[in-house]
Amino acid sequence: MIGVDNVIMEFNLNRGKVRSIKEFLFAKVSDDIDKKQMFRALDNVNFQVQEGEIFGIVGNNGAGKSTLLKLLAGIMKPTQGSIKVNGTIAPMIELGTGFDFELSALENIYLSGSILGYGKKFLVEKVPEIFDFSELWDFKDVPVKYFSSGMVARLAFSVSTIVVPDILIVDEILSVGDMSFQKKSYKRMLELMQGGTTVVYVSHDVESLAEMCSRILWLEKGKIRKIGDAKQVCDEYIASLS
Amino acid sequence: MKEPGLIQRTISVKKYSFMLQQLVNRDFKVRYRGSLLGMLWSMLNPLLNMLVLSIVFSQVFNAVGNYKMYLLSGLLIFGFFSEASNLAVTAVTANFGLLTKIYFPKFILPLSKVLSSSINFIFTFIAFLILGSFMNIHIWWGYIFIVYIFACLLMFTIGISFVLSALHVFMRDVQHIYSVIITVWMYSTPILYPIDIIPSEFQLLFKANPLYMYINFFREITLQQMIPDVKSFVLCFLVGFGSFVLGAVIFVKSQKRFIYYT
Repeated sequence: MIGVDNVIMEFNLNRGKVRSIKEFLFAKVSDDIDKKQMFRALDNVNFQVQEGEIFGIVGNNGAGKSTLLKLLAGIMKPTQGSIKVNGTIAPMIELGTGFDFELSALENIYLSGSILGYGKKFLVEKVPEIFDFSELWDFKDVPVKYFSSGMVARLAFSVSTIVVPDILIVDEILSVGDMSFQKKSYKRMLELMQGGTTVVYVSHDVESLAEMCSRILWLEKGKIRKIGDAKQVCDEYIASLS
Repeated sequence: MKEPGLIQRTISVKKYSFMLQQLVNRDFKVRYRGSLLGMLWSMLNPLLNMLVLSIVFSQVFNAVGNYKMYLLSGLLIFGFFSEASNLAVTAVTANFGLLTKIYFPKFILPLSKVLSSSINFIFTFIAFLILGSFMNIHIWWGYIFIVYIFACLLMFTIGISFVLSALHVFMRDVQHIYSVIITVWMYSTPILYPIDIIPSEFQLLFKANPLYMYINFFREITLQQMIPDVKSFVLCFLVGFGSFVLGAVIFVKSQKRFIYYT
C-alpha cells in the first residue's frame, strides 16, 4: 500500500535567508553567500506499510517524523529515492486546513472540505453530521474568529474526519477540546482505524501508540533506529529516554 | 511519487473545481463583509474613479468625443487587469499555510484571484452599460465580440498572474516592483488620453501594448459601433494565448520548489 524506498530528504539551511542586494555586494567572504548548508532530515529510510495496517512513528523532536508525513502526503518530493502510495490519502497533518477566520462555521466547512478534495454534494450531506459531532449547532453562522480555540479545534476535527479514506495520515491531533470531546474524538479515531483504513500515526503518546498500532517505526536523527512489533519498539524507545 | 499524467490532471481539475469555486466565494465574502453597499462597490468604484478623472481631464482632452465613456471603457479593461494581477502576486505566498499541509494543484491559487476579479468585471461592465444608455451608447449585435475580447484578455491576465505569483515566492521584492510597473503601465496606456497625442514615431510602441490592443478593440465595438479588423482579432488572441502558455510553463516548472521557500 505504501512503499518508501531509500528515501533521502535534504534541506538547505540557508534557504530562508533572503539576501538583499546590500548583503550580496558587501559580504566579506563570498563563500558566506553561496555555501549551501545541507541538512539531512531523512537518511536512507526504507519501509513498507501493508493495507489495513496501523503504522506508528515515534521519535524525538527533529527526528524527521513530520517531514516523512509530508513526503507521504505528496506535499514534498524526496531528494533521492521513491515513494509509492496506492489509494486516496486524507492527510491530517494539521487540523483546520484552510480555515478562514473571517468566515462562519458553515462557510468554513465548505471551504476546508473543498480544499481537502470533497465535492459539494458530499459536503451538503455531511454538514448535519459535522455539527452534531462538534456540538456547534448554535454557532453555525458565527464567524470563526469569535470562537474559542477549543471550539475551533472541535470544528476542525469534525471536518477532517468526515470521510474514511484508504490511507489516513495522523499527526498528534487527539489532544483537542475538553476532556469529553477528547474521549469522543479518540473513539472516532478508533472507529476510523478499525474500518480497515490504513493508518500512519505519529504521536508522542507512546503508550496509546503501543496499544493501537501493529508496527512502529522509530526514527532518530533522520535514520531508522528500529522498526518492528509495536510493544517491543515502544518499550525500547521509553527505555532509551530514561 | 510519479508525476501525474495529462488524464489525471484533467480529472484533478474537475475534482478541484469546487475548491476553486469556494476560494472565489471566500474572496467575495471577505471583501464585502461588513460593508453596507456590499457588491455595489464593484460598480461604484470605477464609476466614481471615472468621475474624478473626467472632471480633471475633460478640459485637457476636450477633443475626444464622449470623453466620459472613452475614459470608462479604458478604466474598465485596465482596472480588471490591474486588480487581478495585483491580487495574484500574493496568491501563493499568502497561502503557504495550505501548501505545507495538503497537496492540491497550486495553479488554483492565482486562478481564483483572476476569477474573482472577473466577476467584479462583469458588475463593472453592467455599470458601463447602464451609464452608456444615458450617454448615447447603444447595444448592438457586435457586442457578442466582447465575449471574445474578454476571453483573450482573461488568458493574458492569467498568464501574467501565474508568472507574478510564482516569482513572488522566490523574490518578495516583486510586489513592490510590480506596483510601480502597474502605475507606469497605466499612464503609458492611452486610457486618459487619445493615442493621437503620441508623436507618430512612438505610436507603434504604444500600439504594441497588449492592454491597449484590448482596450482599443473594446472601444471600437462599444464607442464606434464597428467590428474591429481581422488583424486585431488575430493579434489579441495570439498575445493572450502566448501569455497564457508562457505563464503556465513558468508556473509549472517552478512550483515544485515553492515548498522550500515558505
